[in-house]
Amino acid sequence: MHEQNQDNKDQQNISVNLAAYVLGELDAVETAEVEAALERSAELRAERVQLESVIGLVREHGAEQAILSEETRAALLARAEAGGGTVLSFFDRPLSQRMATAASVMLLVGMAGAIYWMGERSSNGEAKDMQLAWGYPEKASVRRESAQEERLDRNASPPLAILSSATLPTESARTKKPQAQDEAPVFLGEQRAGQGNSDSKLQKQLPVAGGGGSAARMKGKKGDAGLVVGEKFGFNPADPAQSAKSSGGPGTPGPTTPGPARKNAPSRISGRGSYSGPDVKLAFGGRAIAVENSPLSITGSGEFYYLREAQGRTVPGDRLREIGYLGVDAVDKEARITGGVISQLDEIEEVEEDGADDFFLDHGSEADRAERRRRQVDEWSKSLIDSCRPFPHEEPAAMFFRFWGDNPFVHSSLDAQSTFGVDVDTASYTLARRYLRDGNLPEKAQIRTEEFLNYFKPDVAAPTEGTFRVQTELAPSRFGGPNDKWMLRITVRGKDVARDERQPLNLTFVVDVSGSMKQNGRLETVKHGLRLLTAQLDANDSIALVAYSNEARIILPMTSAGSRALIEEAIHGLQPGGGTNAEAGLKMGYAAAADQISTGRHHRVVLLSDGVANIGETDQDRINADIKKYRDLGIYLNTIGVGMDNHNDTFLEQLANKGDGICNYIDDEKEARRALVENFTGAFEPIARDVKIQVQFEAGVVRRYRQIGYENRAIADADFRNDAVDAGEVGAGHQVTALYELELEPNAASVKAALATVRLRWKEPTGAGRDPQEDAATESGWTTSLNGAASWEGASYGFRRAVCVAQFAELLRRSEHARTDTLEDLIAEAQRIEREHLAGSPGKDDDFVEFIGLLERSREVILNRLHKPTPLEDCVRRLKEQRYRHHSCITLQEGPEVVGRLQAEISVLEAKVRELVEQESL
Amino acid sequence: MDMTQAEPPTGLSDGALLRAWRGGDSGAFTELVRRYEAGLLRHAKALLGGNGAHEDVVQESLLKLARGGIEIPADVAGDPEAERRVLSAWLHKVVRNGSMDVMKSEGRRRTRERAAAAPEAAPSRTPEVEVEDTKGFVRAAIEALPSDQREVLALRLFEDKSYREIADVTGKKVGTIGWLISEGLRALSSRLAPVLSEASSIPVNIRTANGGA
Repeated sequence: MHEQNQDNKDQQNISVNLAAYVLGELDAVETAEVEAALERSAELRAERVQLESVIGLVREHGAEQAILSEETRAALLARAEAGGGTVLSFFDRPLSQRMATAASVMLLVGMAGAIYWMGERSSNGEAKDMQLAWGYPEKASVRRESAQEERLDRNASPPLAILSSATLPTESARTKKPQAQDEAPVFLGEQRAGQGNSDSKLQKQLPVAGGGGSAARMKGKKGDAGLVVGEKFGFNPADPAQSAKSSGGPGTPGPTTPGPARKNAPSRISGRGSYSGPDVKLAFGGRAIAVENSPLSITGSGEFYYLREAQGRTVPGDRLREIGYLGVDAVDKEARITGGVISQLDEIEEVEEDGADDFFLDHGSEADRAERRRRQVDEWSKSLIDSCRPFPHEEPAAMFFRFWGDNPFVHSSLDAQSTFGVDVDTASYTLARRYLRDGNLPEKAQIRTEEFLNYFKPDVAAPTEGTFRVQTELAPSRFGGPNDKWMLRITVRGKDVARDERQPLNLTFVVDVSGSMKQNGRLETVKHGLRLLTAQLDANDSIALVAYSNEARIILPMTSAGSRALIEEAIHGLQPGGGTNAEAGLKMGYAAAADQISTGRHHRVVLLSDGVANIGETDQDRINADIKKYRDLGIYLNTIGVGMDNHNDTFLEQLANKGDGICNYIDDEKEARRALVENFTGAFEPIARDVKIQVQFEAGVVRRYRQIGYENRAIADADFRNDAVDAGEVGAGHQVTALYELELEPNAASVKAALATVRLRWKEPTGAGRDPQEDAATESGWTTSLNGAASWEGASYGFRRAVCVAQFAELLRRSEHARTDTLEDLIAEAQRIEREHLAGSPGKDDDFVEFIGLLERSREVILNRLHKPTPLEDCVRRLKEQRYRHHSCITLQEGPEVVGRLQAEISVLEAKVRELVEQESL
Repeated sequence: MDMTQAEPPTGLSDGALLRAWRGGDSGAFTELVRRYEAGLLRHAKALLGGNGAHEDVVQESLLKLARGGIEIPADVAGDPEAERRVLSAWLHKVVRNGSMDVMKSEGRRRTRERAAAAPEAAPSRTPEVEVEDTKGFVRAAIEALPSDQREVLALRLFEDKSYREIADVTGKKVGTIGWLISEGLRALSSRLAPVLSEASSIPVNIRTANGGA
């Protein structure tokens, strides 16, 4: 029996080993054993044959060519990118660590320069004959400095955010070193040679080195410079030989040339190195910069990096909205998130090279060092050259603009419907305006085009009957490249409600009185707003007041708005101090509102805050659930943002979205008046909710369309009639504007069919105590056709105004669709429109006049933030261009000689990149 | 069919790509994803089945890589093959752990094992099957294996990992791996008999044949 078992066991072992033998897993001894057994047994040989055929069969047919789905891949890359930045739990750490991580965020600019120095500056700092372009939008990325660093999803939306930013030479630094400017090459830009000539307008200016800067200066006429967003990459009569020869030949000392010059030159933070000052030592990799006696501005690359908030809780959200800057507090020199500018870095001037690689490089034998350096150079140049290729599935043009935030063109043959929820918020515009006024460039993700459009006063007359008037207008597109595109504007104008016709209001103000509200008189702005608002109310209305910091408390129970003295006393008594427990505030506010709920009145909670919740439930999804519950009871939520430094745009906007209310941002008394007094009925008298628009394009007429803005308001086409799907709310007198850029079919004019059909679907506003689910939705449709199409000049004032405003938003978003447009062109057009309007109308449009001022201001801001590319950056950029051309050539099936020439140029540039990398790493 | 990685177009080693990615080159990460996604997906799918959860697991593990989950040890840095082995082992381990978590949390293991134990209709096929049908047939047979056998077979046959590497990834002994593979192949032999070219002339279950002798 034992024998038998042993035999079986041996047999089993041989079987197991046979599989291993077939798979080549056995050592020599085992192999010999199996081979001997095979010799002995025909059965075993048969088994071996069978095993081999099973393995062959399984290998041939069993494996799936598995790849990640497009969606998963995109999500992965996006999340990896987000994690590629540094996400720090800033306030949890000792100062030294904070500084280190702060530095690590700063250093990412190596590849992330957002805006380029494209020309010269005259000595008085006035912009003269220069070209500006957005360039190098490669994703900023950060070295991991600490294993503790937490990286959050791109999708996460915690209340604090940090911006990875391009660091740019400062005004004083630049003007102090005029020689460095003069010696540096002037970079590729576009020369606008004349108005209305799109070809010459886009002609490329070749990069020239050394004294060539003056040549470029001479070519441009004063006042003829353009702010160019990106470039048009076509085939230009550029002489490649000249371009290769002229850039970075020997003796082209740029300000960022490594070596002794670096210490004196304004430069950028990138790579490895360290900052040290009296209290700070910032360590980071790569090249470092010295900033002498000047504030260091950080702005611009457009990539956001999230922080965990102080409590270490992450907050899932669904949009990237935060704006944040890495800064240094003026008082205690502590690196932290603050608004815009790092100031008081005047003592920081020492630059050390202490990166690990450099340290490494300095040790070992000469031959070792040379070898290591060679490898380092290899890898660096290789990675740079690789980065000049399009990603898989990436439109080649997009590698210049790796920002995916804009709606793409959609072929109407593939998807003829565009569906979205309306938005009447204006916060994005007012916030951007505040940034620009303060001399900062808003981040592209912060720009919501639809909110720019909606800021402006309605130009379409209110409907005489019914809730809405829908109007469409079509005209040739003024911007966005060759003028073969059309612009369709859809305006939905809500009915006006006279003040005396409105329903009585029950307003519950929930006021943030946390410590952060002390800054810059935010609480005073809030109090001012409250006083303005209560002045709009009468004795039929009631208000209640809840204040919250660490906890919430009722300051004023629901009281008739006629009791002015009582109300003023309550407002006056508000004092800032403590944490920000927005959840407690909202809960108490809702409780106070729900307590007094009654029919025939509008109920609304108004949250006034700088938006940074840090105590209590900061999970937005949870807060949203509460908001939805009360909204279904008929209590709306408006949010009003104040303050700048850590104004949490997303948080407040999301809350208002969920609460069927409006989000405003007020930065001063004027804006408070506009938001709360002039737009009073719009903000507090809803006329419709869940307003959805669906545009159906006629595929035979419209070839492609692109919606401008409303990127995050999109609704699935199939959900248009699904009344359970939430959409935007519209208040009395609001005008909703949507713009589509269209490409028409060549024979569009001969097609009889309508160009597009616009459908509007909405529900009546919820009254208190009514079940919102029972409300039937109303739907109506309008068609538009080519017949009404005017010329651009013939289009209405409101149309052209909207196009200009949208264009500005596109520019601020660094939209790839605006690559060929200049800011100067936009300014000129806006001024022309404004002049014409003034000539033909009794009053001027203050908002639009202010808008034009803002355009000019943004030009100044951009000029102040020009980053001059290093020879290496310039070379990488030209390599990208050639790659792009190469790609186009292949697509267009150009002849072999063209392709060959480009390939040769690419090789030259790649060699050049390598050479420059070598120089830089010396 | 050899499912191992093709020569990468960039020619950079995994370690170099990892470094480039940490230095800010997002293309490098894309390339790493391209190199490993198929193997990881097959591994996760072997454990979880193809209901989509495997994609999530793979996404999470690649994300761990993106976020600096592993450093290439100094002693292998510079040797592309060794770097690949280290990275691959690490990724497969992460995928395996992730898959285990999914199985635990969703009780899929039980469901799957029940499904595996259930008699399947597939083996009653005729030998005259088309290639496409063969594919489906082979995959169904693999699907029907217990997950531990399926996993090691996938790693051995599709990812060309050695027993030692598989032992490293799964935390099992090399002997166990050998036994699982042998058992798995035996089960496959029996299930796939109808489509094996010489199947009819060979005793399907040798052990039974021996036992009867």
